[in-house]
Amino acid sequence: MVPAAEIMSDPKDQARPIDLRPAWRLADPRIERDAELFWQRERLLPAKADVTARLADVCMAAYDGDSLVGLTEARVRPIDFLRCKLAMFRCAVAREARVRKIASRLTVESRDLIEAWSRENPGEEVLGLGCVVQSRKLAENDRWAVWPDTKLAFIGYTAEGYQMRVYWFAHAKISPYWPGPPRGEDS
Amino acid sequence: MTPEPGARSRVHAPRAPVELRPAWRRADPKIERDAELFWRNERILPPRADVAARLSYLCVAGYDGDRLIALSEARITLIDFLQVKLAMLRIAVARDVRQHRLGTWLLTESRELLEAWSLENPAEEVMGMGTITQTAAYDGRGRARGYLRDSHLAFVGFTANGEHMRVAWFDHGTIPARRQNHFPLLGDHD
Repeated sequence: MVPAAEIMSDPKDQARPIDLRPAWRLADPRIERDAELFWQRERLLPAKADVTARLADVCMAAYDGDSLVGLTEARVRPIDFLRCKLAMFRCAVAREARVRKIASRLTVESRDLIEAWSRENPGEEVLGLGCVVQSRKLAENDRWAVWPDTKLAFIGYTAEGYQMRVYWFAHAKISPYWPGPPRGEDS
Repeated sequence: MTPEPGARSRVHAPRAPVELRPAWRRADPKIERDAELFWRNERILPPRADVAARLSYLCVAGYDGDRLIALSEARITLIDFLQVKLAMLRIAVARDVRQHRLGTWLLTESRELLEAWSLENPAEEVMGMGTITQTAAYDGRGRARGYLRDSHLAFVGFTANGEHMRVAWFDHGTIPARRQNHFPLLGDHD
């Protein structure tokens, strides 16, 4: 696992550090206000978006000074074909702040935050972090089966043809489903 | 390939003596002879099996002294739903030495051997090692982890028959930028 601090290697970035702030299940009013402004500014909110629901998914925020420049969200949902629940992840970075590797740092830190939360909340039964890659640039330019920084591994395509990737938490144990009769009843 | 407990950050070590010998693409006559005997003794060969083809898949052989006690085979297969070629691995361990983590060790050594071979043979375009779990016997240890730390095998889903499929992507493994249009369901392969 690559620590987030090691991903940021550009000296220019180190001179102007980005402050990552956890938000998962904290309902932090400052981050929520900034998140809503960020979504509006970056035109990331569809017209009929449920803002309250989106705010409940906020995971981590990246600040450059007082300005929110990156945001991650995670929504816990059952993934039928894997027979488990994953925290489905999305990440957005402000246009002017791209190419600073903020997304990689945010993803690694968010992944570790949710993994720790999942370990401490086993009743939630969240086994990993999942994502659907909806950036054409990312899909075409970063073709590693396992992304080196975040360790998100390719597991197949959605029905629409987008890549789906998963990072299984270290404590995750998958469904014991087995085809056929229970153990001991078959020959 | 003699196991060294704890070597290379391994989590598990075999609990029975075993010396692993590489067999991948070597056509080693001794290993081939021992493999055929092993398959027969363990009744692993279906009646109409193509023995010559099976021998060409030999990957790693595990010996206790002169006795072959564990074997892995790898068959390079295009996996449509992933749109890549994987070395699909199967392993077998002699009945009397099962539950000694020889399988875990064999998986790990096979993955490392295949990954090194793939790196040296990029034209083969093999991006990882895949497995389909066809036994519930190991479940005595409880539910399996999503990611197996020694072998790097990660769960990717269930086959059409409901078996676990896993992939250990090689470090140099890449995927196509776009998928093609036709996608048979997982499990359509032989």
